[in-house]
Amino acid sequence: MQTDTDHLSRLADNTSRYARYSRSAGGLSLVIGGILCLATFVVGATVELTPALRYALAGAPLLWLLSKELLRAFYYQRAGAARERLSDKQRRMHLWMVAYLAVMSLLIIGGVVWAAGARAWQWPGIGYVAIVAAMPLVAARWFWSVGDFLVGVLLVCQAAVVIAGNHYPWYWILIAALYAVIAIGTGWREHRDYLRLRDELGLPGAGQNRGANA
Amino acid sequence: MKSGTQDAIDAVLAVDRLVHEPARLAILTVLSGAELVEFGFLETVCRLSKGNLSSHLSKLEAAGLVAIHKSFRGKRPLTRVAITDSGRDALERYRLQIAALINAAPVPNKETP
Repeated sequence: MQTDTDHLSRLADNTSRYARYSRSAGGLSLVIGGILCLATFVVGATVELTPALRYALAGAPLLWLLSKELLRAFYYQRAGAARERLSDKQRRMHLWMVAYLAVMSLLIIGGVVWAAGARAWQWPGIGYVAIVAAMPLVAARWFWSVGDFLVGVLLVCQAAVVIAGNHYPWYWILIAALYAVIAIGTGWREHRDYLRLRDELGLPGAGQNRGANA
Repeated sequence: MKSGTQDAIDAVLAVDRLVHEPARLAILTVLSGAELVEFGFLETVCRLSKGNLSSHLSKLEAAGLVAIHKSFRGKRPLTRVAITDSGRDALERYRLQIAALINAAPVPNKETP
């Protein structure tokens, strides 16, 4: 009977671990985000930016969010969606992150409108304002962990800057590299944990990585 | 005053039978680990057939232990299930009862005669 209660605890725990991949665990999407983050800052600071390249760099956050959604739906939660149950602490942290970004966005947009006047509402100023205004909304929907926050904010900020015709100076590559290392390490650890979980729960594809996990 | 045996029998009989059934216990346990779970995931993890799972979910819903949300994703029906506060309380109460029963039971003598 004791073993049965242990099994039940493990079942509830495994479900919580699986449900994390609906929100706070990005797995490979965090690895992709880290690589994109570093790549966009390196390209932005070292390559002559043509209009096409600027749009490509500005599209990096969209590419990351798309990879996040596709990996969640067709890989991590392909056995059926299970939405993570957030603790009060996680909810508070998410709320504070979004509130912080909303305040920063308002300050930046206010500063741009004050400095540029009517030019802020013409292209490419309007593109910059739109991306900065979208940042808290994107964060509210997709940024559920520190890794998401670090990578996401940097990607969205560089998108806003390059769409306006500028780029971050070279030393930002160091910050992007630091965030990328954190994101890639965290994402890879989460992915390995998922492979173990898949075997434990007997989900589709279980057993394929038994040798790798041994 | 009741005897120890009578107390033990009362404790066993007091266990919530709706929760005690193994399939329903597994369903509630899985649901307790998430905010909302799709039918397909429950089916895979609890290793139940669609009909069996539906039947157990209906009983749990009738007792107010789970909430079932039905909708469509494109043309495909989508069923999502969540444990209610009553369901969470019932599961916690059940686990405490079982833990108390285990603690009250004498440890069997494993020595061979």
